[in-house]
Amino acid sequence: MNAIGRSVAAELLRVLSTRIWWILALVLFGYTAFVAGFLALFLGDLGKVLGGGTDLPARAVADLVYATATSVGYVVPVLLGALIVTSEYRTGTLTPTLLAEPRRGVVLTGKAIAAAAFGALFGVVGLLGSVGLGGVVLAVSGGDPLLGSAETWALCLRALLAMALWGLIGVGLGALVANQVVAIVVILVFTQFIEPILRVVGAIWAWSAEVGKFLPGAASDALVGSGLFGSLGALDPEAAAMHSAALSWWEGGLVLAGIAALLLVVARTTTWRRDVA
Amino acid sequence: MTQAIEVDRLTKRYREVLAVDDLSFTVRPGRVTGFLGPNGAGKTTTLRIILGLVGASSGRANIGGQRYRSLVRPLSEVGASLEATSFHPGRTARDHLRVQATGGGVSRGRVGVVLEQVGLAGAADRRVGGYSLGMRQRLGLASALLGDPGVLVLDEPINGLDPEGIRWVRSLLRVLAAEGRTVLISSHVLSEVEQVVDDLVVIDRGRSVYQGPIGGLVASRPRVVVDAEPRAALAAALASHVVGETDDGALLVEGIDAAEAGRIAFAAGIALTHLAAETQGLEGGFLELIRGAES
Repeated sequence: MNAIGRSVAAELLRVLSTRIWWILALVLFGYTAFVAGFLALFLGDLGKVLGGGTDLPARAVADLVYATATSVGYVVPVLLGALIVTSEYRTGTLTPTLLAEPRRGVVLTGKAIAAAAFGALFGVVGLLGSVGLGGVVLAVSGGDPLLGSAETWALCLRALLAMALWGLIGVGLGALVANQVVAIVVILVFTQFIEPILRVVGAIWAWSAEVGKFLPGAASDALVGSGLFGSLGALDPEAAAMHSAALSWWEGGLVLAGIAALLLVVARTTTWRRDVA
Repeated sequence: MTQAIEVDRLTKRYREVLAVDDLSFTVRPGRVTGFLGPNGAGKTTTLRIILGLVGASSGRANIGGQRYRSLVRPLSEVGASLEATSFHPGRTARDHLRVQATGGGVSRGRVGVVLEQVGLAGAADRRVGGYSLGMRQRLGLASALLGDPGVLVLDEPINGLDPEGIRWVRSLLRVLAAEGRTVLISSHVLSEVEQVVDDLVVIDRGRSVYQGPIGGLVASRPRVVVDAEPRAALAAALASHVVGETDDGALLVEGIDAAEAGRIAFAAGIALTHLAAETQGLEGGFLELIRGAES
């Protein structure tokens, strides 16, 4: 096995030998299943009974429900990616890691690949929640879960890719920040607070919508093909006046990959080179 | 198995602080070398530079003629344990070593071997968070021995061990050196390592203050502790030889041995209540070096 392969194997083992990965997986599963189930119910019969509901085509409803794996769950692979790096600083294990493989670039590459792999795994877990419970609720409430459709499975594959890229972003951010508490706060504040506000504000004007589509969450929704924000107009008639702009799926993927690459390169040339004392 | 550690004019500057100052020394194979100095003397920084974790401001630190970062399979050439705390508390000892072995390209079969060697086999599947300091020290040693390396670099390996553990580490270090390995251990207490080291490198404030065999480190100015009733008369008789007093008020005398001090008191008609050479041995020489460097 070459150096990168050894490093990836060590990182996978490192994650699997502590508890955080399956705790995060459980949280992700529960959270996406809840949101997907709720959306499926709301957009289906229950919504109509309550006097709301929607005239969205079955395709859009299914996409919206299934994409919660990423539109809601994307923060989980970012957190794991960041933890893969920052827990080494927090517990001091970076020292033995670099004794085993002193080439910093090899270690960071190993962490990035391992985080992408866990991101894809989390994608599977999220889809089990969103397609699993969401699909059942859609079928029970008289909608069409579209599970036989190739488009549904293409969305799932793009969701796995998106989650893998979010894992890379987490590693880049973790390696740049180093401090675990700071990294977690930055991730939660940005994904749960700053970016949602920017996306809402961005939808006010046409020009800001054109800029806002490059936000990481927007790019991720574009890659997967559906997301909560992009569908606001469809869900809320008053929001129909909002401006929306979206990248194509492959543009969204390139933007996410570009953000990941930028973070990794900047981290590699700054914080990650520093003395380990 | 015959690689030396060579530190050549090493300097490390942290902004205004000179942590390591033009330090040169060689650690030879087949011997245990003690790397001593008070806390904050630059020992850990030097070890981290040798191991490629910290970059030197100038100078070189090589192992067998190569920088640590250029070693292809470093764990198989150099085993190091730097802190008894660098373990993830939620990971078991066995998993810690498995991760280390995987990353360093060492056969997984070595994990069981070193756990047995350091006496942790029974506790290997417990999380390290529940380990005592002594057990962490053993795990650190296991980690260093993982690749069966010819060079060992251990930072304060005896700190936190119980008396039985101290005896065990000392004999292990002797065995490792006898096998021809290069063994470098740091400590801030000479008495902790004086029974096991062959050579010493003593540093203070980043500078070398002594290098050589441990036998060469003896107090150059042996002291005598002497007391009598009344003390004032004795102090007057010993005059300029008195350099201080002990905690309980006895006189500390320098420049004469115990016999001479006794003769002077006898000549002055003073009956001594106490007369002894100050028993600090090597530690005295060590402290003298540090004091000398400070003045």
